[in-house]
Amino acid sequence: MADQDYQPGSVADFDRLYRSSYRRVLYTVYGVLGDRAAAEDCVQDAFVRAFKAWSRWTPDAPAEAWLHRIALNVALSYRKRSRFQEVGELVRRLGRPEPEPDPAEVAERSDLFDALRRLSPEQAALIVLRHHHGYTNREIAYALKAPESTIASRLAKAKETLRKQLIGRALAEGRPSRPLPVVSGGDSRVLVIDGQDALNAQ
Amino acid sequence: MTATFDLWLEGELAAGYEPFAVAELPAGAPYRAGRDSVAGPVAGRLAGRGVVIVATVFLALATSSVLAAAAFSGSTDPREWSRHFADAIAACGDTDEAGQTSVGACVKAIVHLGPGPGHDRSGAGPSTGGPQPAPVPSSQLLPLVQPSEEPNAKPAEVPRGKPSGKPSVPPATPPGAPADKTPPGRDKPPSGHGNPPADHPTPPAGHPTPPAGHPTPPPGKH
Repeated sequence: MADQDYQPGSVADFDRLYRSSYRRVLYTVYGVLGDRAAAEDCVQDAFVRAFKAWSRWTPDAPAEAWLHRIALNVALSYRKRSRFQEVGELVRRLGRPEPEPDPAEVAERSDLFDALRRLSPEQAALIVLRHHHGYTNREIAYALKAPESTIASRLAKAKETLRKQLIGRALAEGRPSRPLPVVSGGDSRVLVIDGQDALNAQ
Repeated sequence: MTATFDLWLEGELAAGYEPFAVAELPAGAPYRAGRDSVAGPVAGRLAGRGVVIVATVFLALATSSVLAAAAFSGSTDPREWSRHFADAIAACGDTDEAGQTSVGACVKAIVHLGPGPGHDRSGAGPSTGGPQPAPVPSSQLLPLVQPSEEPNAKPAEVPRGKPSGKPSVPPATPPGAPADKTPPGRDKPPSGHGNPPADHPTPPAGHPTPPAGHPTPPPGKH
């Protein structure tokens, strides 16, 4: 549905927007947080906020990008809160062994999402919005509340940071779970890094 | 280089989101419940504020009523209050029958004057050693009791009948009045204006109360 078809304040239109965009917003927030349960909570909270502000939405803004902006704000707040909680948990856990991570969560999360989680929220969102949702620069700019002219450079920087994260992780653990493209010396090639071969590739 | 990495990235992202694809969209419209839950606390806050205001007004009224009744009857016992008011209203009814004043004016006079003889005549007052004298101001409202020879005898019934219209006793004793004008047998003077001072000498218990020849007329307007 085109954004022009949505009527601000219309409950029926918001229902349609919810059904059409819920998953994409969830994917983006999951890319930022790396925690599915937290992402679902944040997206629900974001839709509650969006529904309250729906009458103020203007059709010149892409509706889904507008939703993304709200959801990313919620996710950002969540990440800040959870960082504080992590610090508190770390202090409480001093001297004790670190608890085992949830196996289901570990199985679900790939190296890529681990690396995305280590990026800034804006960089993670940029990568998901462009490379999974196929958003234009204008839509990304609106969702991230950033100048459209800076989106391309921000995206390039985000991808570079992500690539470094992936390589660094692969080298640290010595066993990437999936083939990882490695670029060195201006030569483009795809290498399958598994253990010692990854070290040799550098 | 970039295209390769982008392709790889897109494939990885699609694979990473596969578990989400099978998940159902949350049923209903949870955001509507969220909006309701936002309106709910607002309404709840307003309702809670109203309840607090009503409760405060109720408590203030109840407290002032209790204080007024306690000050009026000289007792903190609610049974005493009701007895006192019943006596006073009965007496006012009597005077109303005589056509001399209205019940409202009579009750108003009682309220202004303070405890009357009904309180003391009940036998539950602060002194039960003998017939209790009626405070002077209240003598305007109720007929004086008949004296009893026995110290612990219960007071006589309130005489019925039309009052003569003229008071047979002085209508009121101002504070600080001479001691011989205060009826005997009182251990503790009641509170309220028109009562004798606290250091007033108390005659021995059982001393007969001066008889009243005629029913006491109703009080006039103050």
